[in-house]
Amino acid sequence: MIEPGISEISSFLKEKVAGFRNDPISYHEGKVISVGDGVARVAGLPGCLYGELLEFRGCVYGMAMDLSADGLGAVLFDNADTVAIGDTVLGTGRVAEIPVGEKLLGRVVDPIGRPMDGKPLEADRFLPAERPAPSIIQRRPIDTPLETGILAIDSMIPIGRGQRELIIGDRQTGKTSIALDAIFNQKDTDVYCVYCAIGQKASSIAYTVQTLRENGAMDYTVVVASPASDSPATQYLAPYCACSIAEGFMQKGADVLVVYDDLSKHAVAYRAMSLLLHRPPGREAYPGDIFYLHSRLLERSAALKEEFGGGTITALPIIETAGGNISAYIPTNVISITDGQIFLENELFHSGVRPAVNTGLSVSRVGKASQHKAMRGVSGTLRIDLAQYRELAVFTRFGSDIDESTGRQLRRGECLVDLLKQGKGRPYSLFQEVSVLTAYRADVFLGTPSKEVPARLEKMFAYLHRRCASLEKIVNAHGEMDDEEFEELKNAIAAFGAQTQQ
Amino acid sequence: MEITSDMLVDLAINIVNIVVLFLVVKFLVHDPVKKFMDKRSASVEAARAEAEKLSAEALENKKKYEELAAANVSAYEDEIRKGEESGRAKAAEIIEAARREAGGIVSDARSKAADQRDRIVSDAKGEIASISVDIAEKLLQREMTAADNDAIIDSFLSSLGKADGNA
Amino acid sequence: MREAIVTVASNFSDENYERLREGLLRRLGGDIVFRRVEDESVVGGFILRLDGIVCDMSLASQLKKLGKELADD
Repeated sequence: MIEPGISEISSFLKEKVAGFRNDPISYHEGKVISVGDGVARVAGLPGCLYGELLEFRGCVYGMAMDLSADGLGAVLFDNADTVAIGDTVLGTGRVAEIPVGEKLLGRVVDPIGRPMDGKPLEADRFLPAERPAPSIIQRRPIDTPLETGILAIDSMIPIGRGQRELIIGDRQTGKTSIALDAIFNQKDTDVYCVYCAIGQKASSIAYTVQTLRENGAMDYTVVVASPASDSPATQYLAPYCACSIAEGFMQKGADVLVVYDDLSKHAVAYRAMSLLLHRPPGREAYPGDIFYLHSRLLERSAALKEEFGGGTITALPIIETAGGNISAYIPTNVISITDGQIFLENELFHSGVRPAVNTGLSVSRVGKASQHKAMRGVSGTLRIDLAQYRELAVFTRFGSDIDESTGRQLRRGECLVDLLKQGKGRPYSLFQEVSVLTAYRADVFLGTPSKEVPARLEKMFAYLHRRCASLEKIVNAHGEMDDEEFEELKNAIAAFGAQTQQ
Repeated sequence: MEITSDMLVDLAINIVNIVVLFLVVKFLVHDPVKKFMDKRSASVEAARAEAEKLSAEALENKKKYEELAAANVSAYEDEIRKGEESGRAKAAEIIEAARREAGGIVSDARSKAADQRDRIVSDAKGEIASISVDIAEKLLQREMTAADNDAIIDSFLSSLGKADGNA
Repeated sequence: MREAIVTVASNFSDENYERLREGLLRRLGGDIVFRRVEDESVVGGFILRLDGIVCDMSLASQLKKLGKELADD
């Protein structure tokens, strides 16, 4: 153990004293006129910027959101217990900003940048929470897939890096699970992840962080947490801060996945804040700029051109609907902003189809261009098959006589639905997804009873892993197969089918 | 005494009696008994031969068993030796793991000690800094002259002149 | 009519105060009313508050800044 050297301390201090510059200190100062409901009205502070951070007594921070000739209104981030009338308010000269950089990986922070996991956080860089979205010139078309590892999504609603894909559904339909599975699947890729929890129960956030840690995802993930106990202003800032953290990585040319869980609560927090600032309420009491609230957030997700770094931010915003009503105000807003949606249905969930994706209403507007070639080859007819199956299933509910070909189509449809079911936290690799779809096209699972499909699938994966190990590596690495390799796969699957015939 | 013909007849009859008796005894008693005795001695002989055969077999078996036992013992010894080896390997593993753990604990303790030292150093720095500032404050409070204040005022006013006023 | 609040310690002489007042009036215009506030914790120099802006030329603040810099790593 090295003894602390006194000379070490004194020489350090002498150095600091010698280097001290007594520059004049000047700052802006205002006075609190009124405070209540998390909003403080302040007089003075000319030259205060919109969104500037103000410091109140007791180290309480607020954000100036309402500037007018006779004073300004500031929303407070923390408890307003210590703020009193007549208190001095200091202008900090900076707008809300958040630390960014690699040091954030594996940490849980609040929207102010304070760590919530008990250890100190040092950051080398800060970025403002509100930043302009990349311009049209800076963007490139989306051309790289973001693999979620969920077969139903990667095959029919493929997501590309730089896309915004909305996950929308009622409560308890698996929205967060899909987002988390997408994060888990980025484990051995170069994609960073940011998970933003807005207005959730603190216990749910703790559980999510635990799950991320157990699956080894915290090594490449940052969690921005604003639980329901936070003030509306803090919850309002949270997704913007999460996006700035993602931009910190994107500026270095990296690919980032951001999950906003969820934007419905974000809209509610903004509504609360706006009403307290006496802004006029509009439809459903939301303020007039509720669309702009989400559009400026989601427009910051983009795929940049090479000359600007080539990085991407893929956004998975989550919206909770009530009663499956995707035509409500906020859902329609966000649907029109994003490049597609994954619609999760209650009935599907409860009838055992998990992930409960309604493939008819779900769409990805970037689609095929961002799908791996290998997947494109085998997933072409899936949506049509499912649509036709659903139509037929309606007819047969009336117990009518079915002819041979219709019966076959029905069985194939049921088989496909069973094959698309996937366990939580069980992502498939690209090769596994392609093999499932190839097996479907070859009718290998046609006679398998529903309950036995998962077990038989696992057996098939194990079999293919043994028999086609090199092919598996090639497909997972390059995303494409030539005709010969595809034949090899088909033969292997056929052999498996013959071997394990029911 | 005179040997009369009656006496000779009696003697002849007695001799015949004895012969007949002898023959009767021979046929009725002696021969069956002899047969019985022969049979008995034959069966005893047979039993004796059997017993000898069995004992020879038993000796054979015993020899075989001893051979097997010897073999078993050596196989058994092999098993014991293997068990001993694997036990020793396991023990070595456990010791190695314990050593690693202990090493981890030691390095952990060392880093904690280093952290503690850093904390002490920075606490010391903070204390010394605040004491120095307090001393400076006390001195300045007493030693400030009007000329010192003038200097501050002048530098402020000239910075105002350089800047464009402050409102 | 703008109000300027000048916070000083007791070692700030009347000459010092007049010098500051005239200098400010000359540079910032004549429509300023001055108010003098005594506060020993200033130690030396002055704190000027005018038009919502604070110019802190006090020794106390400089000492505090020095203290913070010494304590920082």
